[in-house]
Amino acid sequence: MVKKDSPNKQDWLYLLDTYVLYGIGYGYFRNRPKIGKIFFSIAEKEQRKFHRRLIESEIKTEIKKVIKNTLINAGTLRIRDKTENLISKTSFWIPRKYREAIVGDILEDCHELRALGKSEWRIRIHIIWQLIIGLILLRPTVLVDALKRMLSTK
Amino acid sequence: MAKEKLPSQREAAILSILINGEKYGREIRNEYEERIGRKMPLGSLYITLNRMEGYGFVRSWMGESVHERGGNRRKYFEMTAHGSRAFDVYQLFVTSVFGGVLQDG
Repeated sequence: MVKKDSPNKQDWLYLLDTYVLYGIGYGYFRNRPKIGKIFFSIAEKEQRKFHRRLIESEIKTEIKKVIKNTLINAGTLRIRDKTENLISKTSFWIPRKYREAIVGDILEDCHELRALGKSEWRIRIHIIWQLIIGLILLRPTVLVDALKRMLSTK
Repeated sequence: MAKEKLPSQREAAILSILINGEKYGREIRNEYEERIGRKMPLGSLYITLNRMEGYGFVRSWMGESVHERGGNRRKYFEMTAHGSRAFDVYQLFVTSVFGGVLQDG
């Protein structure tokens, strides 16, 4: 089963429903395996849906967290210690070797846009766009790097 | 004769920017957009530079931290001798192809 830190009450009830379906399959149709199988297949299908939903929601909340932190840091914080926090937040998708460079480039862009008198919304759109592109393109390099490391250790 | 790895169009454009000396990601991006007239998000740029570093066309190192970058360091890129050779081969290839077209016309 996929581990999740804090699923809400509704999630648990949904999961419980699938186990009820299993229970019906076992209990009521113990002597009729063909009908029992139908309940099992429905329960399995619903459980798969449930796990997929949990993973999707985890990814969504992670992305939201990164974007929020980037916006906060781009606007107000200028100290090295504070940006370390932002860099550690982006660790899951930007390769370590490029993390500092990319985050720095985005912050420098923001500084320039602000100096040109662009609105905060324009700056926010710029950050989100750059992060989305990074998210799509740089993720495979994380996997390739991980594979290379794995092969080199073997 | 050993085959020389030919850079792609985008890689050649980046190499032409790096001819004038070392540059960091944002500088390369700005100059690329100015010269080529196309948008280049940072994600695309760094993925291309990563590939080029793998081929040995460029090398990189971390610079000093800068105030405007929230204290983050710049990652500088420089063309290697191998990159310079590959760029020459690319130039030769392009001139030989388009020179022929121009002569025919």
